[in-house]
Amino acid sequence: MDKGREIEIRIEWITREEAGWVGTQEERVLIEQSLGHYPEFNAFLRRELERAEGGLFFRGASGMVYRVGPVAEEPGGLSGIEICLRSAGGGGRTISGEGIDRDIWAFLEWVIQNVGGEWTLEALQKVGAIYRIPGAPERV
Amino acid sequence: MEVQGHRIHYVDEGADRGKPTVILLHGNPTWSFLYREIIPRISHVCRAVAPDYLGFGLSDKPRDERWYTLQNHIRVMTKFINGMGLSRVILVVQDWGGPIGLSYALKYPDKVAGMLIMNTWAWPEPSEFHASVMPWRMLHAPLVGAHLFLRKNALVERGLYLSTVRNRERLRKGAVLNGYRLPFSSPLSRIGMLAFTRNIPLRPGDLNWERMKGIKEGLRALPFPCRLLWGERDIVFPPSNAYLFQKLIPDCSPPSMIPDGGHFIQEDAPKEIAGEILALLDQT
Repeated sequence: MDKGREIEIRIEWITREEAGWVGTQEERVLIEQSLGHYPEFNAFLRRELERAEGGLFFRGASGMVYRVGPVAEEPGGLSGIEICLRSAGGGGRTISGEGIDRDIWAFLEWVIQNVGGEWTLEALQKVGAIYRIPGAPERV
Repeated sequence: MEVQGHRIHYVDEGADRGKPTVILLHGNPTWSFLYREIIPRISHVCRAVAPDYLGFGLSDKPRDERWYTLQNHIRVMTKFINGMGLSRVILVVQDWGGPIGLSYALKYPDKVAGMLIMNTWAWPEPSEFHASVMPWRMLHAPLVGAHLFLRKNALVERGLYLSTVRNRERLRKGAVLNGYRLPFSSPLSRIGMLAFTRNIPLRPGDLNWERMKGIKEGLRALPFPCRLLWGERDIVFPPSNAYLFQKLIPDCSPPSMIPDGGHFIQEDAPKEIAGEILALLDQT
């Protein structure tokens, strides 16, 4: 897995155990219901999830911990992906919306960089700049 | 009105005064609010009805993205228009309103007295904008689209502003922008917006390629008068689209161009649109 070699690493890949996920309550922060319309994304994410045996775990720059996993399978590929945040529980820190946005953005940069082909990091960053998405550069 | 178990919200102003009822169809990411400055300018002479598609405005919003196909939108809007029990209508369309309204017109040409076509398309070949990775295809790519559309509401928060010219400042902040935001307050309420982007065909074999091809082929047989009004600075559907409509539709006036108009022409030129509708009403 080529995780962020060409970009500034803003997410840290960790194991399920390091994530402390067993029995952890989680909150879905992003759902992608349709991976099908660009098959290269489906192929890449399916491969990564198979390698990771069903779930990818990372810690974002905010310090928050996430699980990336399938929401459903269909013949021929994944039909959807979700990103869940490890819930801090009653005594935990306040969940920062912008912190989550920035962590998701870093994850998207990793996805685009690895899908490759016509899907370039520069194009993603330009789109992020145009639409003023947290984590994206202000100008590209 | 309830259609196939879903509630359709619509604005209904004016009264039947012997003229066709004007049906105003919106696009993405808007809703009937888009026509708020046009309806009062025409409802003194006709009945004006502006529905919200399922997934938009105050209509129900199915949560499964797979529901949101062009075919389903056409089916529901066809049932909606027929359910209103109207004998004659004038269709006013922009953006996705084009393929949806034209599909109705091709199926029920005898019920349509005329059309005003604005900043839209009706053929399978994508515009340069829709074919480009940056910004369009990246904007709705897997996961990227979910983040930008569902979490960040990017098409409402920035897209409206970027695609409006004359009156764009009111799409940057304030009451008008808040009006567009109103029915899309949660990520799940925005699935219809994301799905629309993924319904645009790019090449043969794509979802809706054949459907759009059928619509294009039908344009030559439209038996009623059409008028064209176009925001000249629309980068999504440039003025060349207007001239193609003129070429393909037998009874079609030359396009009226709005030099400082963008894609959301209803925001830039409501007075001019009302004038075109009134002219069309006079023609029928």
